[in-house]
Amino acid sequence: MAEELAPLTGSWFVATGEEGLRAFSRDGLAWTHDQTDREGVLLHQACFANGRCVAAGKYGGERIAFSTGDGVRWTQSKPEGRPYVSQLTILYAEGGKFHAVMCEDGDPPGELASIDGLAWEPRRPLVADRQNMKRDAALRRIALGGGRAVIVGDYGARLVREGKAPQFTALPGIPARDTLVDITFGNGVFVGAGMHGLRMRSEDGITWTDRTVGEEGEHINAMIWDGAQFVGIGQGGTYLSPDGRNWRREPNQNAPTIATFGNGVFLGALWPGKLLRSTDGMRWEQVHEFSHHVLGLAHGRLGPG
Amino acid sequence: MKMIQNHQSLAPLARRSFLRGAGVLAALPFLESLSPTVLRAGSRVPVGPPVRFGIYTVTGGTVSESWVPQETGRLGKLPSILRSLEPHKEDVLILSNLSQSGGSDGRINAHEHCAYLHLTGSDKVGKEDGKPIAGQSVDERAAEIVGSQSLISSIRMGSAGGETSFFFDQQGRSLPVERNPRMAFERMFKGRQLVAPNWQRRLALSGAPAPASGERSYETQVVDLVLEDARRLQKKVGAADRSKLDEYLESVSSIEKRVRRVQERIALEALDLKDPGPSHPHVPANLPPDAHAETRMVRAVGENPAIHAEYLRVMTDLMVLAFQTDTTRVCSLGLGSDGALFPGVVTVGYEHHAHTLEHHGNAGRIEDADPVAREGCRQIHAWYSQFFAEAVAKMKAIDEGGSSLLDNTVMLYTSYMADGGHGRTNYPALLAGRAGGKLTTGRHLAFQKDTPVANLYVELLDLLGDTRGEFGNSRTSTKAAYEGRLPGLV
Repeated sequence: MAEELAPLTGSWFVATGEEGLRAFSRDGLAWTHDQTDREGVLLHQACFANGRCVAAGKYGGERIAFSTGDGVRWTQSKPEGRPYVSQLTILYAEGGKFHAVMCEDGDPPGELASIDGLAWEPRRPLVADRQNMKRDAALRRIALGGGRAVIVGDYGARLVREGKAPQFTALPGIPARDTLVDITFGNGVFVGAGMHGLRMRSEDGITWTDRTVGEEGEHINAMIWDGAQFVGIGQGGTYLSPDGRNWRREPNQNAPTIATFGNGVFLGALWPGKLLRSTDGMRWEQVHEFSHHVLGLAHGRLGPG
Repeated sequence: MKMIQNHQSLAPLARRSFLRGAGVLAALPFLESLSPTVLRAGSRVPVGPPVRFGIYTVTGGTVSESWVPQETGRLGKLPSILRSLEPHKEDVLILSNLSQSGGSDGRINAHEHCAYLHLTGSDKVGKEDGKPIAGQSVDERAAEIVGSQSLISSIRMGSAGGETSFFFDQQGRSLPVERNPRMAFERMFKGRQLVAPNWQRRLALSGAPAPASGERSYETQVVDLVLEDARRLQKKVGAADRSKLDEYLESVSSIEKRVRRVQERIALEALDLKDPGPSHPHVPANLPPDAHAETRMVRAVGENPAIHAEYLRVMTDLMVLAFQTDTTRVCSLGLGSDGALFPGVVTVGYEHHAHTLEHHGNAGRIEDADPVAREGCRQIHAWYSQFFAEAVAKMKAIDEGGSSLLDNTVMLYTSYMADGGHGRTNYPALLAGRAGGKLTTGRHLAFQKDTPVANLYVELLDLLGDTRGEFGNSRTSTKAAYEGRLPGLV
């Protein structure tokens, strides 16, 4: 008889990935409650809200989500969408709900919301006007702050939602070379990062300034606010700035391709299945290796309170 | 000296003696033309090993802004796709603005169009009876020039084939590629020991008859019997049958020559075994231990970059080994796959499928392409380049008696499409090695826009001793330039 797993409560890292991988860790070093699903289940996103954790992605042509309140029992749901066409590309928490951004080939993006990650509200359009959205532009990351939300995506896509507006507005005229692959909010500003060391800064998500580029080919995969500074984790260099204007580059090695931050620890993943840990975003140490690749990382709270 | 006297004393030239001599005589022009011109004091014997020609071509379209240096002349910091070659930049030449202008017969898709033109530089490519048809590829022409001097005239390995057929014979028919590393190894080394030629000794003997091959082999005896029978028959048959029999005799004679060549090689290598060259060839570390492991490796190449990397390394090692042991002097690798997945190699976005990235990452104008997909393409090609850089490093480390294997080789590193949108202009083209001292490396040469790629092939063949001065559409292209040559390359 298999040993019964204890329910998890408190703050945890979660790693999600191929074959429906889900696992938890307090500190990024020791991992527990590993679970997998069928071959072909890819969980790209993970998010915490309301004491629950949701992992979302796809299985074949379907969208798929798993939700848990204790890290032990996961319940599966199938957010609506067109087979093979609709993909969940962003999962975030806001206003006590999980929100999933859905990109669809040939159609403007949509959004689904759920309180528990099990029952999803009907899809609604993400943008009020699709005029400024390039067709098929995948949306990749979101940052919330200052009463605003900013989404970044391919072909330079930048969507802003102010206050309690029901929908996002796509910004016009941003060149594809200014595509941001990650964005974060800290110190009162949004800071985004992209290819070839690109960094940009905005106070309102609409006007972007302080465009800085780095070395050709040295793109920044993750931009994190660690409470004191922005940390851009690139392939070969970590970029550090307190304000998104003045940057310092520190060489790094073995840097991860996705990263998150929690409890003073940076946690990243590198193919295939390697988990890396760092306390400064520059020096990375492999701390674990899963037999399946890690596609999503998040930090948050499980259980009540 | 004694051997030369013996050679001179050979009285009336028997057919068999002539054949034996032909093997040696055929070697002489090659050795004189391909070896460096430095002569040992007081001697007429060339002192350098022969020039080898390698092709290392990868799949898919590259990203030119990350491949081609912005400055011409002496190489500065290399663009990111070639960054892994930075320690070897004094050993490479980057060439830009070379394009394919050949047309299609309308029966092939865009990938086939690029692939069939790739190494042939033809005016037109297409299909006949569903089979690819193009001009002769540069490797096969090279094999015609230098192939007879080594055990195998030309080796083609990798995963090229089907839509990505790069290699064509003189009649323009597509040639197969050895996909399995163990099979390739066995083809090269079954019944042979791995030994590096002692070029100093071989070249000192270059005017003398081939070393005696010991007792006549079983194969030789069989050929002799067949020939004797056929000749007896020849006297008895009529004119019509005699013609057929002549053809038969010719093919047997061809087999005889091959058997003879192998026998001579065995004898030559026996001498090398007693007194080998300075380097020590060894079996590639990643060679699959058995057929099962090999099948597993070949099947997973397109799905798992870690196994793909192992495959590239083992194929690269086989090429180096083939040159190091003088198994061949012309070796081509057609590597990669448009259909391959690159998780972990492509670190941006969610798409890892090379073909999808190629299409999304290209547009009529670069500014309109999806930069995330384009970055994925760049990462794939930077990844390929590191294996080529490893090959360069390995060849550089192989001492051939005062010069390295890389010094005595010219390697073409390229891709079958110029960009992922089936582009055929400004192909990636990099040469590594000095071709026995004939190439001055460490430079970037930019030619006039759309100079035919075939001009490069003319220059490469010229380095190997070709005297034709033209290849593919080097003179017939609508974009013909520089009278079919590449000024300043050599």
